[in-house]
This record gives sequence, C-alpha cells and structure tokens, in this order.
Amino acid sequence: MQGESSGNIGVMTLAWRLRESLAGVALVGVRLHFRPDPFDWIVALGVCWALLPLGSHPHYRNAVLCAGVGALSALHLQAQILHMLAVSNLLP
Amino acid sequence: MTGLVWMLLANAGVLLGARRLTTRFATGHSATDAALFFLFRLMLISAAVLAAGALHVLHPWVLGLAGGVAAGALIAAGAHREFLPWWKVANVPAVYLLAALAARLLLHAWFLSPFLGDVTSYHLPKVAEWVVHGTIFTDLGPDRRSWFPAGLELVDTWWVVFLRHDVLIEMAGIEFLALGAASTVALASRLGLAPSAALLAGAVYATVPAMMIQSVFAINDAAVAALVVMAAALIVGKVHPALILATAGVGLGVKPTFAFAAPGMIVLWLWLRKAGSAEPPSPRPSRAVWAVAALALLIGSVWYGRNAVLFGNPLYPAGTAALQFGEKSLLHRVGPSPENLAKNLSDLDGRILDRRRGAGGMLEYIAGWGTGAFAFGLIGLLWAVRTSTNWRRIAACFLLSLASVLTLAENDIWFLRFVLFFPAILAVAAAALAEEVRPLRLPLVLVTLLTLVGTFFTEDMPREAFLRSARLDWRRRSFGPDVGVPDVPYSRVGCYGDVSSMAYLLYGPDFSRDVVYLRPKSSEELIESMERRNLPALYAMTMYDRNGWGGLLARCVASGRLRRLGPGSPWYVLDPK
Repeated sequence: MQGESSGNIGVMTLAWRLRESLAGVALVGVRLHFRPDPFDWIVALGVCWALLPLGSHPHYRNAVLCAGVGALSALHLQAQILHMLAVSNLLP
Repeated sequence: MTGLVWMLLANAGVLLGARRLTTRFATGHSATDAALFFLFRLMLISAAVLAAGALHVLHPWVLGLAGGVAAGALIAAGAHREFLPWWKVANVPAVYLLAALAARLLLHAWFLSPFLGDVTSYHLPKVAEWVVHGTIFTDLGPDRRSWFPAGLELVDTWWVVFLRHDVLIEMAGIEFLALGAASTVALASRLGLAPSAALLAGAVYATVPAMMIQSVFAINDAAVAALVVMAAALIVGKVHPALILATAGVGLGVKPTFAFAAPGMIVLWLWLRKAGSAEPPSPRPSRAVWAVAALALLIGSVWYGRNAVLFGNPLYPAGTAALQFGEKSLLHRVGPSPENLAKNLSDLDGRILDRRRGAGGMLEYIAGWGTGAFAFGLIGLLWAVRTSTNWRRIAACFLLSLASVLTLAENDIWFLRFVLFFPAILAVAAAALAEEVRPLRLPLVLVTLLTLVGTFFTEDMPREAFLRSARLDWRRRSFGPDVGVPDVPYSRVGCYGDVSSMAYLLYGPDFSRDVVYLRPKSSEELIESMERRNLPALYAMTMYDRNGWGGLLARCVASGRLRRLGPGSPWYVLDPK
C-alpha cells in the first residue's frame, strides 16, 4: 500500500481501533435491524471491519481477511454455480 | 475476399496510426500508454467511419485504400518497429487468464450474432442502413431511441462494412473491453501494485461477467464503463488534461451515461491536483495533443449537435414525450432524483449477489460483477481504504460516481448496467489483496477462471441456443427465427414498427434484404406506399401499440389487401386487388 500505514495496525491508538471496530458493529446492527438475515453480505463486511483493527499480528489480519473473502465468496458462488449449471443444461 | 483485403489494409493503417499517436503522446507509464493505444485506435476508427459516412463514401475500398496508404507511409516512417514483441509479454497467471478470455471472446464473436431487443431495435438498424447506403445520412429506423449517440455503432460499422456481413460485429465491443482491461492495469499500477498484480486486476475486471457478456452482445454499457475507468486511470496518472478530455469525448459519444459518472471523476481530478504527487510528472506532450482532444470531442458531440439542430434537444428522445406509450413512459424525466437514488441503492443491495437470474446481456435483476470483484474486491477495498490515503480518495470518488449514476438513472430491472465501471476499483482491490495476502492469490485466479468458463452460456443465450447457432452456416447465421422474426423469401420488404421492433434482423446477416421504413397515417396510405415502392411483404412489430398502430393494420387486413402469414406472425403479404 505504498508506504503509508502498510496495514500495520499496531501503530493505531486504542481509541482509533475501538472507533473503527464500533463502526463495523454499528453497520452489522443497522443491517440486522432492517433486514434480519445474518448470512448477508453487509453483515460479513461489517464483521470483517469490526475485527480487523483488534489485532496487529499479520496472521490475525490475514485470517480475518480470508474469512471475509470466504464468507462473501460462499454467498456469491452458491447462486452463481446453480445458474451456471442451469444455462449449461447440466442440472438434473 | 476483396473485402477481407480492404479490412486488413484498413486495420493495418489504424493500428500503425494508433501506435504512432501513442509514441507521440506517451506518458512514460507503459500500462497507461497501452490504454492510450486502444483509445487512439478507437478514435481513428470512429473518425474514419464518421468522415466516410458524412462524405457518402462509406465503402470498403475507400477505407481500405486510405488505410493502405496510411500504413505504407507509417511503415516507411518506422512505426511498425514501435510494437512490443510478443515474446516480451510477462509469464504470469494473469496473462494466461487474459489469453483464455481472448479465446472465449473470439468464439463468441464467431458463433454469435446480434439478438438482444435493444440492440436489434435501435442500435444496429442504423448500422445496417449506413452499410447498405454508404452514408450516415439515412433513415435510422422506427425506434426513436436510434437518435441516441452512436459511438459504439461507428466501431460496429467498421467491423461489418468490409465483409458486408455481421459475423465479426462483436469485435467492436471486444476492442472496448481491451481498453477497459488496459485501463484497469494502468489504474492498479498507479496505485502501487506490482506488474503481475496489476495484470491480475486487469484480468479480474475483464472477466466480470457483465463486461464479458456485454462486450460480445453489441451493447454499449460495457464500452462506456471501460472509458470511465480509462478516465480514472488517466486522472490518477496525472497525465495531460487533453488526454482526459479525449477520453471524455469518446465516452460521451458512446452514451450519455458517461457524463452520469463524471462528478466522481471531476472531484478526483481536483483532489489529486491539490494533493500533489510523489510520482514524477508525465512528460509534457506537444500542443498537438489538444488537436487529439478536439477530434475526440467532435466525434463525441456530433450526435448531440445533430439532435439539438433537428429537435431542439441534444438528448432527444430523452426528456420528451417521444417515448411515451400510454401509461408507460421511458426516459421522460431527465435529471437527478433522490427517489432514484433510494430505489436504485435498495435494488443494488438486492441484486449484488446475482441470485435472481444468471448473467445475461441486459443484466436483468442482477449486478453481474462476479465473485472475484464482489467477494475479493469488497474485502480488498475495505482493507485498502483503512491503510492508504490514496486508496481512500480514489474509492470515495468511485463511490461518488456510483451514487451520481444511481441518482440520475431511472429505476428499472436493468439499471445496474450503467455502473459497470465500479467493479474496476473492486478488481484492483482484489488484486491488491491477493498481492498482500498470498494465500488468496490462487483462490482469486480459480474464481476468475470459474467465472470465465461458467458464464460462457448465459441466461439469454443458454447452451441449446448457442449450439443451434453454432451449427448454422456462418453466412446465414441469424437469431431472427429464435426471437420471433422468421425468415421470408422476399429480397425487399417494408417495415412498419415503433419501439422495440427488432428491425435489424430484417436485413439478414449479409445485409442482402432491402428494408424500407414506412410511417403511414392511414391504412390506405400503407397499401399505397407498399404498391408504389414495390414491397411485396410487410414486417409489422412494436412492443407498445400507440397512434392506432394495431387498428391501422387490422383495417388493411379487413380490406383484403394485406394477409397475415399465420397467427401471431409479424409478417404480412400484399395481395393483388
């Protein structure tokens, strides 16, 4: 990321981290209030946003990012694969 | 065969011309220069078709001869030595993805022919008329949306005029997709991604299902999106403003929705100008670069100027009653609306997962961004904006452009085709994420490959339809019978239609049928026109009956002069008195 904070959240203050995390929690809360579907893309993003600042170790960061990508990929792919099979006439 | 020779000569001239212009106005950044090469090629093609059409010499031999002369002069000047030898192309996964994409696109280009309703109703009838008559001063067909800007149609014309056949018409969209991919690579590179990651960003964007499919379905939203991404890449690269204006000129000429996305791009330009840059400034091109901008703006504005003169409204038929059909109206209100934003944002939320339908040309009820851009891109963007000011700025401006389009676009089942520039920033973020978090690199490549292969057949072109088309002799390949326009044994027909009449399919893939557009006021006038113009058959079709269209036809049938070729058929034949 071109020499800025380079994803190194260790330099952030605790207050900044908490504020960032609360933003993610708020996003999830608002989403669940208006559309109570816990398996949802904004919820996945919010959870990722909330968890990302809470640890500074690269393995922790990578785990959060991979989990976020995994959740969103699963959400997107489950319908996509069915559509792909349907238009290819491969569904029984 | 002669047409093929003219096509090769003309393309050689345009390729070398674009290369020479790229050398002349190089920015010193190879990815940006690659994108500029595609832009210049499209500009030269557009200018050539527009000029030949305006001068009534839109013929293969004229364009071929001009291209051949230009190619000869440029080769003598050494322009052919300015191309990058193919063996210097990097050996990275993204290159293989792009090669697989090229193979897919070429298969589609060969085996598909235009079939979408909008494309056959108002984009391509004018291309057919231009090619048949050798000029752009022709009847544009019965659908008034034909008066919209026709930048993509200029490039469509280039790919059909030489062979007088539409077998390669999809190449026009592919050229714009190449520009979009190159622009994404340039944007990624400017954001600090390594060359292999920047190439992966380009591959992820070019394999966004909506981009891939639209590019070969002869529709212009992917082309506009590619040009918005190009503008963003040029702004981030802080190149000469004339080059940004040139992109804007071409973009506006393709579709006014380019301007919908402009607010974010303008803010980005102002923001980066103010912020200064650690990067060395681009070399300053000569003043001739303003001539390039002027040419592009001329190419882009010609349609608006024509409409302003003819109808007093540069955006005609938008904002008029021309597209009003009883209770239903299209594009009646022009301008921003908070209601549009609210509805469109809500629908974006509902469609972003692409659950309701498979990918298709018009993106009905879906976003069509694909898993790579959506899943990897959103998480990548989330991570990137937390770690980089530059990313925050650019992402904010893309979001502003997205919001701007959603505020201006009418809410319907297809509006997400107007925001296809947005997956570009997601593609760059996805590649940046995969570069930073190594375990994600292979999954991103695999998901991109799955999207590339899995969307070969689409919701509107499923396997059966595709294979049926592929089995046809390419010379007669047409989807007419599949979409309700059966073939008839007449070489000259009348067309009485209105909106969504799919008139392009009447010409045949080789434009061998003469089509005469009729706009009768009465049943007697319709019969009289057919007799006078020697039209044995009439094609009558519209989506919305207005101005007594159906009643007029019924009176012709009742008079015994017109006979319908079967129940529900759009064809009528003229019976003798």
